Amino acid sequence: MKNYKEMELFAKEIRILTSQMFLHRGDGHIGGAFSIIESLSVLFSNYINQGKVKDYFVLSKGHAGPSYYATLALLGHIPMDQICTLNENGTILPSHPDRHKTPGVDCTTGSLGQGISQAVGIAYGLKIQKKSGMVFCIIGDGEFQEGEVFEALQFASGKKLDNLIVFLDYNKKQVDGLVKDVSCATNFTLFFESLGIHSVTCNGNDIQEVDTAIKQCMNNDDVANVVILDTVKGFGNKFFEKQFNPHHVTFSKEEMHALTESVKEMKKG
Amino acid sequence: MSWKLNKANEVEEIRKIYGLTLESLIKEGKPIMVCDADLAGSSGASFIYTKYPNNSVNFGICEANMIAAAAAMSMTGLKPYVHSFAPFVSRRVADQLYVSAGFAKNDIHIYATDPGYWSQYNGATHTTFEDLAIMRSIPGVNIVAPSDAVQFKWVLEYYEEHGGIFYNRCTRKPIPKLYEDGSTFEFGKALWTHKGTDVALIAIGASVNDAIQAREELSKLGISASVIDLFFVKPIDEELIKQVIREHKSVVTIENHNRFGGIGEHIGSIIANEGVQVKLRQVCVNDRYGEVGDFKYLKETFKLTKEDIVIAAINSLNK
Repeated sequence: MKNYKEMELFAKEIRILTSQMFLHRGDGHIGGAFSIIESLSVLFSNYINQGKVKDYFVLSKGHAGPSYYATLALLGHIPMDQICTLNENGTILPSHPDRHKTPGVDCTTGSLGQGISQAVGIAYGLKIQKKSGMVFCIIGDGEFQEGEVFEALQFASGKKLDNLIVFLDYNKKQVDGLVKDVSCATNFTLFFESLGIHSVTCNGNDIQEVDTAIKQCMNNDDVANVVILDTVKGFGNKFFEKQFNPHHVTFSKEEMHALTESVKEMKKG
Repeated sequence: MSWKLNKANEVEEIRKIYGLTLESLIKEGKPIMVCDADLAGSSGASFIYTKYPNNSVNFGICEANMIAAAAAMSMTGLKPYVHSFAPFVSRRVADQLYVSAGFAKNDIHIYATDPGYWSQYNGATHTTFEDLAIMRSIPGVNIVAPSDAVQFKWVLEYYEEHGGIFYNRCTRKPIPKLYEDGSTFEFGKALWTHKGTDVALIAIGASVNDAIQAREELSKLGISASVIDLFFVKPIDEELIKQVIREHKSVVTIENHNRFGGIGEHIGSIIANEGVQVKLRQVCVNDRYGEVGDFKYLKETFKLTKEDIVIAAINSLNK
């Protein structure tokens, strides 16, 4: 078990390594990869077992792959000498997770909406066979527009999947702009309540708040749980936090500089 | 492979075999999960849902979620069997089949019912003349079109033992029982059920029975026809087809499916690749949408009757 300080340090390491991957590559889905780093740190520090009891992690918003890979590399699943091969020819690190290509990856995702379906399928399979193990699944607020997400949530609620926690990365931005403009503003708390799903909202970029929210969602019998992560897209890099839309960025000189400088700062602090 | 043609004039309801076979697998303790999207009442497996709640799950009218969730469920050790009308487990869920089943290499058996004209009074929205084209183009998907209940049952059991992805394209309705009980088949192998010398009639699904009837008509006209029950649309039995195209003067393919992406095109490509001089005629749907009607009307409308097969066979032999 890691304490908050250690998890903060782990988050920093993930952010540094993810930044280095992007710097090496010169482009990538930086916004959504950065916004979930605190959740990755907490989940992979204290909640996801990969031993005798197997927990599953499903990155439904598969484009955030780089920070997932950085996490897995720091945990020793992915060889460190492979980590800067993102999207290179023949790489084991494709932009979106592939369970047959990358060590430590549980599910193949990237086509939005399907990861959460896979997560409910795994959770149901475990529950009906009375197998232990939790399923943790991160979806995006843009991804939430996919009808399949609604289908999966109905299933999670109806089948009372208390071995599943869905994390909604509420970073408010998607490829074509703000979620509220491209689609519509959604009161997620009310939405989940209407489906009979227990939800907790927290500052998704605060280790302690994420951890507390997860604790509130563990061991709730007969109900599916959602943690609404109120996050900032590009969190952890002031330059990208302020950018109108850092969904996928091909880095300019200025952006490369901002990323390089933030890595230096993080390493110092 | 050890099969015998059934001499008795019997029919068997496919959906009944679906329910009974799944029940026997459950009774044997096999870890199967029967899945529906609000069509359990149509699949022949509805009693499984009340009798075996730990081996069945209804997803509601959410086919996309059902396909991706069921495929991923196989990662926990279960063998999912999903059912719906063919359009809702093919064209509606093509991406889920591609990513969560195919690309992710999960197990799933899909009972795609009432393909083509079998949709009858549900009309064009429920008709699939394009599902083979969609499924054939997804790597790793095995496609079967059983011609009777014995083959259908064999597929259900084969999948339970071996896993993989099976698109089982079959009606729910009673159809003639072509093979004797206990017949066994082989993965990827077609069946040369009736031998002839002039024309080879290569058919799938219940159309095999139409081909057999057409063969009798052709015989009266002095034309000797073979019947090949293709059974596996993918992987197709290239070895047998290569032999068949060499040993006949012409080939007729028969399918309750569109011309584009069906078996006729595939067999045509084998003929071309082999460089064999043999004429091919296709009894198939010519790029049309479905419509409502009874079987007789629909088969006549889409030119899939045994008479259409006879005409195609005669044409194929004309110089």
